Amino acid sequence: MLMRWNLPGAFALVLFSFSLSLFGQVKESSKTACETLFAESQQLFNAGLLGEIDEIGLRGCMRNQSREYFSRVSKLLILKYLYLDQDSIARSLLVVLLKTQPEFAPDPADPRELKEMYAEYNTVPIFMIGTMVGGNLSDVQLINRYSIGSSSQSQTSYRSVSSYQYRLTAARQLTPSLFFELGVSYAVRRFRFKEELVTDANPTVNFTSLTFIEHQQWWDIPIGIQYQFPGIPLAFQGKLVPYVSGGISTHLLINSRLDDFRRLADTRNNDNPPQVELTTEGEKINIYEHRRFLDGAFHLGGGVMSKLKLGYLVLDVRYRHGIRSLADPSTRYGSGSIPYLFGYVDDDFSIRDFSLSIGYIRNFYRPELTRKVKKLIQETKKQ
Amino acid sequence: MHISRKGPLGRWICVLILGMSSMACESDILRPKINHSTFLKLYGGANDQTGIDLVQQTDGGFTLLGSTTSTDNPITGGMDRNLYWVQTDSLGDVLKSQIYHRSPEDHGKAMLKLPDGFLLLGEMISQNGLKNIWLIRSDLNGIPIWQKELGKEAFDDVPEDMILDADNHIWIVGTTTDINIHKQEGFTSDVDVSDIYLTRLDPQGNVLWERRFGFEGLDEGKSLVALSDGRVAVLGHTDFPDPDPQELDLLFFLVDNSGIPVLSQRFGEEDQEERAVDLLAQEEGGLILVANARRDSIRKPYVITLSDPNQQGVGQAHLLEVSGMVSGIAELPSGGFVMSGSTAANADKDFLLLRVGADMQLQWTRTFGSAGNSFGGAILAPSDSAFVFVGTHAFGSNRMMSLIKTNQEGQLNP
Repeated sequence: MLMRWNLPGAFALVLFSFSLSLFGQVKESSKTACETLFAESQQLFNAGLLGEIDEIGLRGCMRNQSREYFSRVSKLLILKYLYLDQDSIARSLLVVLLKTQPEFAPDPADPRELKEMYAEYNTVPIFMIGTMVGGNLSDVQLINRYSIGSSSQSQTSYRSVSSYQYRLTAARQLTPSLFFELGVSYAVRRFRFKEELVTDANPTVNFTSLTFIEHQQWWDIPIGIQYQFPGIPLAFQGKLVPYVSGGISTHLLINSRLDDFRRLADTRNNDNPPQVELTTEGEKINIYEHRRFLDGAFHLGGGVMSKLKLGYLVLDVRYRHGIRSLADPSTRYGSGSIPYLFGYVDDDFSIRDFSLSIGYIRNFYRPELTRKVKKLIQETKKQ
Repeated sequence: MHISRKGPLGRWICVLILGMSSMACESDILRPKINHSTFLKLYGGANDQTGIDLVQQTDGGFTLLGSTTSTDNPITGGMDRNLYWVQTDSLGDVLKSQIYHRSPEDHGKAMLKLPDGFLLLGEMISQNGLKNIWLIRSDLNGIPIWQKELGKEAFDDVPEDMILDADNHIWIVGTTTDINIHKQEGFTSDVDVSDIYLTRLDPQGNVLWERRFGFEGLDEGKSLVALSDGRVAVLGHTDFPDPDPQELDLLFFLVDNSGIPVLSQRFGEEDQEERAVDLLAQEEGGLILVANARRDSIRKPYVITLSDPNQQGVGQAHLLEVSGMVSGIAELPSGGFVMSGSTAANADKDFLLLRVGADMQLQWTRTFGSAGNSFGGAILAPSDSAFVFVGTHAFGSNRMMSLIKTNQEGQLNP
């Protein structure tokens, strides 16, 4: 489609393009000037002419330049005041640097004085918040069998079916390595149930095979402790931080249904099958009224975190061990419900599951003197 | 991993984890109770099963009798209805089962437990298409030892109940259309429909004598019990003198060991219907006559208590204010009774379980079931805390033989 241009429109476009170009040139010019100023200041610092450094100019440049420039200038000024024995100014500059760039850390080649002062500050995140998504495999623990068929002549099996979960997680630092974790998850857990005849001892009729997939939706509220190990430097950049975690959790079941419910008659004694369907294939049966809505669990896990900007990419593995039977005994045979309609009675069972999640956790910092240093300062003041 | 709720540590952890509901930790459960004291069990295959009678074994297990038309039936492949015999453990799990085939239409009616086996009473179709009595003596595994076919080929002879007397003789009561014998001249099938049939057999199933009782019209025998004095009490119903099926009355009579009536009584309200169901002998010598009455088109259990069966006019009638029909009764060890049956639920019928006191005052009713028609059969009360009844349960497009064991409140929940 052709666009029609009128004169004012064309003029405005030209003016806008010119402004953009001019802004770019000004910014480029400013960058060059600031880099020149830093280079001159570095030379003066190296020459020991600390008083000649244009600190006002540098501070002006810090406002407009990159984070990396801010970091370089801050470090230069901190060192200047360290060498001038004006530690308080150096400290305030370091705190400003750590607040704006909490990921800042001295290079190995940096002067010892800077490294020592940096070491007096807590520079790990005090609070983390993030989100994770992943898959899980649920494993049913059979506690007590029930069946409207004959338990002694049939076999019940539960098999894992993959599913998924979303998690919001937050952590508060307790010590530099230890964090208190709190989360909330929406999790779908599934498992396949099968009951089938396993003996030919009974020569007469039987209705046997019963299969379904139970589909449960949960709100999980885990609390626990996370311990972070020292980071493992990576060959290319940054480091991996392994961690282990453990705790307890409360679980609220918000829905539960049986999918693909099938009850088949046994036709092994019949020379002329076919399999006889006793219920409708693919039926979805709500079984929530037969479930306890509250469960508790222990969880253990671990994972690795890799630095990304002001947070971590996280790979988390977790084992959760439900402690309570999910079948509600008070409604197991509830009138007008599933046992009578579909010939299924709940076993007593609990669920444990493995989950694998990936996500991103944002770090929040509050740079301040470590407790050890604070204590030392207090003692010095007393003396 | 399970933590006992009894331990202080377990409870502390329970409260900690389930936090928001410490009550759950008081009364509930990290470890569920292992409790199969109640259950619902279904037996049979695709197609149709019934559950009629039930006896308890000395080991606590149960033996059930009914019929099946299952397509899985290895004998007839679902072409016929056959007797279906199931033996379970005390949890209702099948230990053994048998199918007995005699005719295209066999129905289980009653069962007796013997020290070395069972007596099974069935109804069958004779070659000329009429109903006959089929008696099977089996061993403890349900394997037939001998079988007898009773009744006349030219008539319908429908069995209903069976007892053993003190001489181990077998008594069978039912209904026959063999109406012309022992009747006064002029009785024809135009005026007489059926009579009560009673027979006594020796322990090998040989007929000692047969008797027919009744009036004009319809007379049906339903149940019988042996009394301590050697007499046998029989319960049936009759439409005499008004041949209107809406005006049936209960017919109760005592016979000696030759089948000669020594006393008879009628019970029921005028112009109303009472159909006989079951007869129960009490330890102290009384009898309970169980029936279903119809009042304003509603079926209600109707019970006559006879403190002395040998006395005329001592019966006390009780109409239970329950909509439903009962089919079995059992006396509780501590007094009172439970009854099983069926009741209307929406457009279908559900199992009905009810309990009455020794004074026949209704204490509670329970229903079980869902879509489809379900009917309760015989009931047992092994203790005051457990009631067991057999039945026929609608299950999808099929009907299954069922066994339900409840707690003392008639509930399936432990």
